[in-house]
Formats: sequence, C-alpha cells, structure tokens
Amino acid sequence: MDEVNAIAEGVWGRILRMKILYFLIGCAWLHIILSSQYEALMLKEQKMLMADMSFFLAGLGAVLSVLTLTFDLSKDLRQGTAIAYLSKSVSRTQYIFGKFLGTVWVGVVVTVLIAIGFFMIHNATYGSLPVVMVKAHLLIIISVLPMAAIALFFSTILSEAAAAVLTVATIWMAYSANAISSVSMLYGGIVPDLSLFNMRMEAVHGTQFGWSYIGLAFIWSVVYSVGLVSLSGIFFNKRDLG
Amino acid sequence: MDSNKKLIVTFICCFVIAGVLAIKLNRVQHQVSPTRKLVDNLPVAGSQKLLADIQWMQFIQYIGRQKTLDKSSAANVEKRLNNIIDLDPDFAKVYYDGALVLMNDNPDGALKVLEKGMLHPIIGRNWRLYMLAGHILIQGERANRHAHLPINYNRVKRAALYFKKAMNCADSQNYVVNQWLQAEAFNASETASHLTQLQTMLRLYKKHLTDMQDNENEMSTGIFGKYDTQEFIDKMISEALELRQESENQKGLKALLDEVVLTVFPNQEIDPYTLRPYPAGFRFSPQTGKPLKVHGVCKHCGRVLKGPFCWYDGTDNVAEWNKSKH
Repeated sequence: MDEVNAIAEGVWGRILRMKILYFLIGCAWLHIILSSQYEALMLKEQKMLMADMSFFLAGLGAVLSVLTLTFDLSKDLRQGTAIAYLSKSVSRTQYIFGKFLGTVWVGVVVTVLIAIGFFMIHNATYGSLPVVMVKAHLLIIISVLPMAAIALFFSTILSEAAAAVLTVATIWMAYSANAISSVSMLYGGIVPDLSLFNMRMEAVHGTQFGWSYIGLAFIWSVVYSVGLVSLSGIFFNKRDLG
Repeated sequence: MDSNKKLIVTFICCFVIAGVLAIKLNRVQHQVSPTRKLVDNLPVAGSQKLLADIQWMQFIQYIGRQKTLDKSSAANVEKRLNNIIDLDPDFAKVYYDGALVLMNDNPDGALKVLEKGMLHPIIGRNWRLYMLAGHILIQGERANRHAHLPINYNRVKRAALYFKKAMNCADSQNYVVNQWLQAEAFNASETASHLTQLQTMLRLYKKHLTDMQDNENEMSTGIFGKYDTQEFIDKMISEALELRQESENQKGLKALLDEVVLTVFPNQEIDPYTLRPYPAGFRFSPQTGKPLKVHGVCKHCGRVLKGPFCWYDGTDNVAEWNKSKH
C-alpha cells in the first residue's frame, strides 16, 4: 500500500503545487460571484443561476482534473518514468491504482474548493445555505471517482490524445445514459450513468433527497470504479511498455 | 490464482453489482424527483438547468427588444417558452410570466403554457395559473360581447371551471370567488347584468344548501370549497343592495330580492334598508335611522324577551319567543 500511496502522492503533489490551478479556482469563484449580480437579466431568479453556475463549474473542474490522468500516464510511459517505477517492487496494477487515487484526490480537492467557495458566497449573499445544495455538491465530488476510472481505462489502452478525447466524450454521454436505464445488463455496469450524480435541478428548486441516496451513489461509484480499474489493470498488464 | 484472473473476477463482480445498484439508484432518483422524466434528454452533460437559465435570459432580452408581438414573434415566444420548460419543467416562473407575455397576442399559446404548468405535480397547485387561464379565456369573450360578436360559451364554461379550480387551491385569494361568479353569470346570460349575477349567486347558494343537506353526515364544505359561506352571503347581500340602488324599478327585482332574503335568512325579521336581520327590541335601523318592526319583545310590557315568559312581568310570550329564536 505504501507504493500505491507514493505513486498517488507523486500525482497529486505535482498537480496541487501548480499555481495555475488556484488561479482557475479563483476564476470559478469570481464567476459565481458575478452570476449573483444577474438580477435584472434573470428577473430576480439570479439565486438559481448562481447555484447552477457553481454546479457547472464544479463539474467542469472534475472533468479537467481527471483529464490530467490521460496525459500523465502517457507522459510517464513516454519518458520511462513508469518503467522506473515498475522495475522496483511495484506491480502494474499497483502503479495504475496509485495513479487513479492521485487523480481522484486532485479532483476531490478541486471540486471541494469550488464548493466551499460557493457555500461562502451563497451564505454571504443570501444569509443561508440550504442543505440540499451541499448534498448536490457532494454528489459532484463523488462523481470524480467514476470519471477518473474512465480516464484511467482509456489511458491504459490508447494514446494520450485519443484517450483524452474519448474520456471527455464518454463523460459527456454518460450524463444521458439514463436513456438506456431499461437495458439491465448494459446500464450502470458497463455503461456508466453520471446523471445519478446530477441532482442540480432538484437542489436549485429545493427538492429534498436523503443522505441514503448519497450513500448509495457513493457505493455505486466505488464499486464501478474498482471494476473499471480492474479492467484497466487487465489491459495494462498485457501492454508492451518497451 | 494469478493477478490477471483476480482482476477479471473483480471486474465481473463489480460490474454486475454496479448494474444492480445503478438500477436501484435510478429508481430512487425518479421517486425523489418525479418531473425528471419530463426533462429533455439532450446530450449536454447534465447541464439542462444551466441551459434553461441561459435561454430564460435570452427570452427576457428578446421580449425587451419587441415593441409589439406580431403573429410570428408570438409563435417564436411560445416556442422559446416550450424550450425552457422542456429543459427545466420545475421552473415555475416560466409558466406564469410566459403566459402573461403571450396572453394578448397568442391566447391559445398562453393557455397551452399554463396547461403544461397545471400538469406539474407541484406547480399545478398554484392558484395563479388557473386564475390566469380563466382570465385569458373569458377576456376574449367579454370583448366579443362588447363588440356584439358571437360568444363562444364553451370558453366561458372552461373559464368558470378554471376559476373554480383556483378557488380550491390552498392559498388562493378571495377575489377568485368574484371571478368565478362573474364567469358563471356570464355563462348564464348573454347580458351578464348585475341582475343575472345575483340570480346566479342565488342559484349557487341554493345548490350549496342542497349539497350540504345531501351530505349531512359527511364533512362536506359545499360548492364553495374552503371559502366561508358567510363571505358568500355578505357578497350576495352587497350585490343585492347595489342592484337596488342602481335600478329600483327594474322588473322582477323586488321578487328576486325577497327570494334572496328569504333563502339566506329564513324566518328572520329583516331590516328592509340593509337587507339583514336585526336584533330583538330594535325600533329603528342603526344604519339608516328608519323605523323597524319590533320583534322579540313582551306583548305586555315591551321589554326584550330572555325566555318564553317575560322576565319582568311573567307574561306568556311563547309564540313570540319561538318566532324570534330563529
């Protein structure tokens, strides 16, 4: 486990040290603040826009964070860093699991920072923070897990550009996967449904949902991610790294 | 078991469990948010709500740019509203404000928007939607009546139905009852005069009394729903007084007023000036100062009765007491 942690730390330590990351998070906060000023343009529904904007930006932050994995893994393979790791006592599965955990941590930090910024801005602007908003943000934070697993899967079988494009396309389409919810063998198992983490509309309109839903969503994301990381491991074990 | 075999087993187990869990989660999600199935399943990465907000801003700016709405721009407005509703069916403001924008130039389009809102499990409880729908339906027919054009009574009936629904909504205002009565009166007569309105009120009140008698053992609220019957009686008496002031010599008016008073206050002495019952012992009307027929007093000493026998001189006043007891 120490090896896995070391690889994970290598990923998040490098990315979270980038100043540009915090500049972008600052921009997201600024955007949220600005959207609270759209009173006339929204006919006094700016509160709704502000919350929507925060959800959108947190989701975008999550996608961009997991996208780093597609470039990171390819870079490691190209520069031989991966081989250096694997020549020690680290197995291939441990290596990609470490990469996955590191990316998840980056995604969680980014989405949590955007969410905290939104909570503070909302509280300062309107004097309160509905719990349902916190829950909706929590779901976005959890959605980093399956997103990172998707990115890892494509990184292990494709080149960096193709992996990045396919990761974005899959995440994009996974939000509409509930259209195939009646196909039981395919839905949720092979095809991920990220719309399960999309309770933005409900949060904005104050529709309550329980913590049990969040708990169940978390379990799904862990189970799905473990499955996809295992599949990635199978492909990565067979890959010629030379 | 080698590493790859373990991974394959893990992968298969996880995907089967994830598939089962996802179906359960999807079901819970639809239970929590029943309107989710109405949302347009556009591939926009789950940002339908944000798109709806952006389209709402564009809609407001589009309306701001229009000096008046013609046929094509009214159709465009309807299309834009429907797009927003498809993206976010829970956006309550779109239904009412959108219908307000459309109601003059595209009343049928406005009605369609409102009817979509009425189908919504939460927004459909808002009395304003029904009130506005009723208003849109009846306003055109009112204009037709003034212009001596043919009136579509089906629309008037629908308007009355909507006003009735508005009345039955939890937080509706009292003036909805007025709208409902006006629609009922309009429906009853082509002229929709005050006389017809009073006749309609009387008819509805009689129906209310019959309903209450028929459902004596049940907790029936009659046709007025949550509205207090006393409010309706007050309204009817005010209407009667207004009518008498307007056209005292109108044919059939006196008979109608007598019928109203007899139906509303049976077996009671009525102040002919205020059309309301007055207490025992009153000699003059406190409102008009005009003389009244005294009732509920002892036939011997003239004191106000407190029982069948005079409290002052013991005279037997059983008949008068029974009469005034009402």
